[in-house]
Parts: sequence; structure tokens; C-alpha cells
Amino acid sequence: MDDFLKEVRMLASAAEGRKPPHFDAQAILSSVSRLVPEPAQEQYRLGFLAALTASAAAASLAMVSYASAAWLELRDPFLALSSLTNAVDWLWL
Amino acid sequence: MVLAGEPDAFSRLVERHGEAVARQMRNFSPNPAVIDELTHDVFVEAYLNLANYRKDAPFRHWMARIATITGYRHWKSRDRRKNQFAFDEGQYRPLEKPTPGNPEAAGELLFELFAELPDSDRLIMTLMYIDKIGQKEIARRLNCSKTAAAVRIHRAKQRLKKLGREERWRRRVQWMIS
Repeated sequence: MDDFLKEVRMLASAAEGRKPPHFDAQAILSSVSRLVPEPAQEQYRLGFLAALTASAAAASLAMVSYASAAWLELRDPFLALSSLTNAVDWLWL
Repeated sequence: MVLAGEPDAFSRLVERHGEAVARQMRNFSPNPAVIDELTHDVFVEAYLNLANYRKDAPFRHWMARIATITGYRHWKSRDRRKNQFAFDEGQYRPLEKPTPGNPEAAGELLFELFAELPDSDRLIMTLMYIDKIGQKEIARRLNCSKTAAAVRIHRAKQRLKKLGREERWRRRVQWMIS
């Protein structure tokens, strides 16, 4: 092996004893937690997915579930009402 | 469990793999603030891609691959051809009085030396000499065949040897390991 590559290897061995770098687990967790979807959003997504698969009953059920989540978690009556209307629409279809 | 939505499971992953990821990210920047940021990016990326994790390889290998990609992207995202060590790393100040054998100083010199190489060679030499991983794992991290990895390793070594023919590098490396 070339002498310089041997020396680089020795240099890398010398660098092994470096102090571990600081890392802030809490900061990482708090920013990751912001990526977690709200349950209501998740249910809406599922409803949309079911609609795409043309399963009217499943979509309707998901919309009802979303409506309840919109009311219970977000306290948003308009969102809850429009979701219920959507659920009825899906059943009607 | 993380995939099933258990909130504590991800915190356990961060606790278990955080230090290893931070160590790996140090290969991509000597600046503690940048290392912090890159470590953070790796976990966010891992979280967003958890559904793609196939259980045919250990989780730490999967994380190491994400870390490699994240670090490499960091290099590529910067205009680093001019005085990278001094300017690209913002507030970072190298050790004022490096002493032979000092691990921190050895790490800085290694970073500076590899930074002279083109990014692809720099990554390969970093994986090989600092992370001490073999050809098979390098191929996996770079998403290429073992043969392609062998060719790339060979070329990167040739370029590193060429640097070693420059007096300034040979002298500094020899002094550090003396």
C-alpha cells in the first residue's frame, strides 16, 4: 500500500478518540412531533382514499368518523356539518 | 411500533441512534451547529420514510444510509470550491494550536484533506477511512454494484495518493501522526 494511504489510515485512527458531538434528542423529537398528522386530518385522508377507491359506503363511514373528529377535536361545527353532508352524498351515490 | 403510531417508540429510536448519527454527520461538517442541523434532518427524513424501511437489514444500516445521503446532499448544496474550510462552515473556528496526536486536530486535518477531493471521492474516502466500512457496505450506501464500488474506491484512492505527493499535505499528515 502507498505510504500516504497508510498515513491517512493512521490519521483516521488518531481521530477516533474525538469527543462525541452534541445532539439534542428533545429538539429532534419536538420537530418530528410537528410532522405527526392530526387524527382528524388522518381520518379525512382515509375518507378521501376510500372515495378514490369508489367504495361509497366506506367513504361515507369515514366522513362520519371525520365529522365526529372535527366536532370532538376541533370543535368546528361547519366542518362537522359539511362532512356529514358529504357522508350522506356518498350514501346517496 | 413507530409505524403503528406509538409516540414513545420514535423517541426510543432517537435515543438509541442519535449519537451514532451525530458522529456520522461530523464527517460532513466540523461545525457543531451544522452537525446538529444535519442530525435533525436525518431523523426527520427517517420519520417521513419509516414506511419504506424493509426489515431485511438492521435498522442502524438503514439510518446510516439516510445519514450518508443527507450529508452528501449538504456538500452538494453549497458552493464549496473556494476556501470551504474557512467560509462554508460559518462560525466554525479550527483549533488554534493543533498538537500531534490530538484526536480533534486529527479529525480536522482529515476533514480538510478529504475536502480537497471531488465530492464523490470525498464521500468514498470518508466512508472508508473514517466510518471504516467495507466495499460491500459502500456499494449499498451508494446504491451501486460491488464492482462499480470497487472501481470508484480505486479512483478515489488514486486521487488521494496524488494529494499525498504534494509536500504541504504529506508534511502536515506526518507531523500529526508523529
